[in-house]
Amino acid sequence: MSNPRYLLFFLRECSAFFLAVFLGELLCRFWILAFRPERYAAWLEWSKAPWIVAFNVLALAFACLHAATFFKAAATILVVRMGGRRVPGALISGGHFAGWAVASAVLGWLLVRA
Amino acid sequence: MALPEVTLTVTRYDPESDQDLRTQAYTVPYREDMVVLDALNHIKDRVDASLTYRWSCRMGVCGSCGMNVNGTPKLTCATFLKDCGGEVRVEPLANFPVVRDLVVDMSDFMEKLKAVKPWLIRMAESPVEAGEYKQSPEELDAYKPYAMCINCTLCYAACPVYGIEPRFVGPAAIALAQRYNLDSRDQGRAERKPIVGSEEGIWECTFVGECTVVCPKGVDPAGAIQRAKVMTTTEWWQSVLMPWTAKRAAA
Repeated sequence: MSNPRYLLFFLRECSAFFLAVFLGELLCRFWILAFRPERYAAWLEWSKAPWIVAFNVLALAFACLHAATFFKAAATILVVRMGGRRVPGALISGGHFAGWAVASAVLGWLLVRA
Repeated sequence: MALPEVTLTVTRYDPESDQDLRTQAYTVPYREDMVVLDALNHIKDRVDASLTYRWSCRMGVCGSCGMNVNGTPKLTCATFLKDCGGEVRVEPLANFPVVRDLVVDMSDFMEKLKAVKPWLIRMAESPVEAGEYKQSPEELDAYKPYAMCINCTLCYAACPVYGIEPRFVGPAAIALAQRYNLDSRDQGRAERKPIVGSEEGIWECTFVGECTVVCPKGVDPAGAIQRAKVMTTTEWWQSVLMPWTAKRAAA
């Protein structure tokens, strides 16, 4: 763990666990909304518990880390050629981050509108 | 006026007398332009002739002088003492059996290098009268970085997966396989697939990326392995969803 790159790798791999648990929680929420709507209000109250909020904040942080490391890796993995020359890795990564920002903005606008 | 000095702590191991690795400290005169290999050569020439290590070109092209310097795999001919921060710890490359002092046994790596068939494979050789196999600059660019490998094995010393799973084919061997797979003149990807696409091949890699960080020639073996994963996965899906394309390619 004294090597910062090993530490980043460890955190990157750990992020998958938090994402999986968060996705499980999201699926439970959708299931309750679809099949037990009368219990959704109680689920929302339970979700306000401090440890649930803290877990979701942590899961958000790990999701951002997961996405950022994945998008950076895309520069190494995706070889795109245009006009006979390789597109710089920074543009590949930048495109991913830009798409992430646009998708987040659209989703945020939809949620605010709702 | 006393000349400045630097202390090197060097791993020693004599298989005929030592039970385990030990360290020995040597103090050598220091000049600002000295590299670690210069210090080792001074020790061997003037202090302790029994110190054993590999070196050759002393200019970063042969890959012989790879060792762990302060815990990081480096070419000692390209590592300046002034960049080592005071005390210098020189150890044999990690993840390899130690033969003697700073010399490691590389036979496992050599076997893996041979196993990936690092030569151009053709289905049928064209006659000489047909002329040479031409290649455009773009086709050369596709594999050139992976052709820069000097087999120094710093990537194997840095790879935590190779450290815990010695059957892993490893960064340099897979990068070399990719060098030939991406060569427009080569037709041997299917022959290399059993070793490259195996569990001990690309799928053992967890993309830590240390191999690329330590590589002295900018080969990017981590990138080569991930690209091989994409290629292999794409081909597998193609064989499942569009099997007639594979039959057409084979014909």
